Amino acid sequence: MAKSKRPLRILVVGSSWPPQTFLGRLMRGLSGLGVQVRIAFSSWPDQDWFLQSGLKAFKTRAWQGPQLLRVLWVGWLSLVAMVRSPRAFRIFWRAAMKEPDPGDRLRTLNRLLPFAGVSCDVIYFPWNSAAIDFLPLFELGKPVLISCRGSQVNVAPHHPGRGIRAGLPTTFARASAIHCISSSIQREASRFGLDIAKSRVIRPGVDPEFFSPAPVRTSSPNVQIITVGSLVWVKGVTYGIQAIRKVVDAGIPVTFTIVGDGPERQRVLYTIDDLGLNDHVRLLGRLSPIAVRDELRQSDIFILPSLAEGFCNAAIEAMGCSLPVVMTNCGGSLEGVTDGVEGFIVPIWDPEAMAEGILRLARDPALRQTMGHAARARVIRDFTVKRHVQEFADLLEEIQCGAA
Amino acid sequence: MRGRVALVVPAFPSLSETFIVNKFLGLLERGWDVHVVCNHSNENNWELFPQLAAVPSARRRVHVTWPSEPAWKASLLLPLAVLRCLWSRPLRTLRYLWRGLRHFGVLETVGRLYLDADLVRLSPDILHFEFGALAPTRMYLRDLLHCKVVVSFRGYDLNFVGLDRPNHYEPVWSRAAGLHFLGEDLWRRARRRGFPEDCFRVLIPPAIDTQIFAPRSGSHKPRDGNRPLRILSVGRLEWKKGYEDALLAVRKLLDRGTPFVYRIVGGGDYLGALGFARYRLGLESCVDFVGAVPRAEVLAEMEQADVFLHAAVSEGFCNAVLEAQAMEIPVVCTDADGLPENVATGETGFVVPRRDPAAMAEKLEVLARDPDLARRMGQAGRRRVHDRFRLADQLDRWEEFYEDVLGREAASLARSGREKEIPEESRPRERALPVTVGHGENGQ
Repeated sequence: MAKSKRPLRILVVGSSWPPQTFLGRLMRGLSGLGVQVRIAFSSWPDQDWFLQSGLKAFKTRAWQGPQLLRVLWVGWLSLVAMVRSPRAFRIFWRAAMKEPDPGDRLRTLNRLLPFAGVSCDVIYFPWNSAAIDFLPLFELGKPVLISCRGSQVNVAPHHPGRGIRAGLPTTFARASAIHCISSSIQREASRFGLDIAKSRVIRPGVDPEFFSPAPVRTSSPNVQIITVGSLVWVKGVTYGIQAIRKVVDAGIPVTFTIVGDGPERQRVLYTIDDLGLNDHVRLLGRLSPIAVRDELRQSDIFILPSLAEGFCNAAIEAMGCSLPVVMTNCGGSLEGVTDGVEGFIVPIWDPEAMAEGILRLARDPALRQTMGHAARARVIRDFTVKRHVQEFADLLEEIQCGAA
Repeated sequence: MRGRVALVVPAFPSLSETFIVNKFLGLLERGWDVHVVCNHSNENNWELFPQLAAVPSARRRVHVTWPSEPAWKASLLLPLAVLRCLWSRPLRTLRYLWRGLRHFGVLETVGRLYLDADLVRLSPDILHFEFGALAPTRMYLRDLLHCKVVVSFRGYDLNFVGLDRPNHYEPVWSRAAGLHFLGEDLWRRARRRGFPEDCFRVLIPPAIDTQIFAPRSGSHKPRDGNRPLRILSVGRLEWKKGYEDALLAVRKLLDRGTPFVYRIVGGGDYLGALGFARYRLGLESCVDFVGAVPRAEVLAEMEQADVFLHAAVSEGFCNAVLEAQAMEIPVVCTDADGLPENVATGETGFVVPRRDPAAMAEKLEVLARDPDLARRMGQAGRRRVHDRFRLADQLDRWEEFYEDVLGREAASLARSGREKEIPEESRPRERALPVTVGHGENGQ
């Protein structure tokens, strides 16, 4: 950070509570560099988390509760907004009146009005969908930064029933800068109107002190394979399970650990049972970062069978722990792993190819070790959270200077 | 009228559960006093079933239970529901409450009466849970309503529900007067999940109306090998249906130089995943997501199709595959659950291993190359449905089953000691009931 008189103030809009691990990491890092970070939430966040992190919460109210109270609340918000910033009030009022349904008008006002007269230097949307939802905030005259992270750019636009495709070009055109988490995402976004010159690729990072190999490893007769990710279709966990079936069929004793939970849990359970892998697969559910790290440390091979990824956060965490990686060619993954150096890259939807990659590593402990070392070296070189936060802070600084 | 039967379903009428509508109307016509008890009845769906509108008493026979959510609304309606029950069926209601109090606390008994109010007022001879998942928490109704309870298992219930509890269906097999399975495969699954060998059961496969699902003569122009192969799938968009494997299969077909048009009829949450797959596989110009459509349009789609593709990973039996066969369309399907009983492989189509796009592509290609074989398989399909899966035959079997259930009290008591719980006996029932209630708390 340059030594400006006043710290840079950013307002983060559209984060869920609690923020995703990587987002929390970035926000705390920025705060550590002296940036004043406020995160807007519609549910009451856990105060301890904020006290520890040095972040601030910007409270809005969720659209729920008895009708009368909601109407009164919007009335109160309107009064406050008119006093604080008549201009912002007019902008939000006009945006809300575009909604045909009176209920939606109130809902929109409830969402927007808390931001009237808000003081910050940069508004940051960590997701494209948040930028589309809060389009009127672009009119406040403050510079806006949007992150393109993954599925909203490389998956959702292909959903025939969703409107995100229409919203992307507008937000890209109006934002001051666009952050892309990989060149792959940058390329995908350019199909939807992103001006490459306005965008910056800043790849995520992890703390290699935290994600580091175990000092001592308990030995196991089985080769330990692990994947970490939510159980949603885009992560392709069932293709990983199919690959494990082929590995077991090849006569290699393996245990496959799945860390994560989500709407496809039932599909995962069914697939494990249907493929007769109940003795080979452990489904652990969602774990804390420390527990994830401990599971990684007890593993030999990390696999990522995703169909699409913005980058591959889960893989670089594993690589920090010196695990070789077998990963699909699913977007940003090629920027994290070089095929044949830190692991193997295989096509998506191809359990056969993934099984081959796993088998090469499973049969060759020396190769595992070489690739594992290469993986950790790569993380230390390219993907530390320190570098990530610094580049992000520089970008914010540039945006602020550009706006001033 | 013959016996009174209450069919319990989640929603009625529903496009994906047309078989319930067929059964309801069929049994009604044959003189059974049939009623449907459901949690939801979507007004728009009634318009999709002209056959229901043709029966004046149909509306009267469909009962939507009182709402259980939001809680404040339910608690306001509860006294109303109980009073209405007492007014229309005082003795049955008192019996329900009296017996209920021996199993549950006061509040719980009244709460259950609220949800069971329609059943108490109907007091059916046979209570039929059309989906196994609905049954385990409600088997107490046998005693409280003093009726025969029968339960159908159609796939989802045995494949997915309560897998982490070994005896999830114990209350069902120990108390039901009869069990129904769609086919051999489901019965084998039930056995693996602990159902005793000596359950009174019937295997009644689904059936379709071969009058409605009949190819109109001359509507389908035979394929001469020049125009693209028309592939069709019909079914909800969900992961179980294996559409990703289907898309991978048609991609292989394209790679081998067989042009095609693939239409997928059905709505559902999996559209996002399939839209992505279509894009990544470069199939945007030859794969169409048609969405959910009424039956007339499904028929029109089928009349145009050359091959029916069903790539399911898990499937109870699949009515759409029966309908396709009735429409003289050759079928390529997987070996998931009941499908091998549905399609005669090599005769009315091809059954291939599930999760195997390469095998699907191979069989699609065989049918694309040989229009003559495709035609013969289509015709064999219609014969098969006509011989084995006709609606009239199925209704005969339902009647037979219900009559058996009504008439087999004595036989059932003699068969096993477990069945000897008559309502006034307390010990065995008290042992069994807490299990039932415990499941209720876990939901279905």
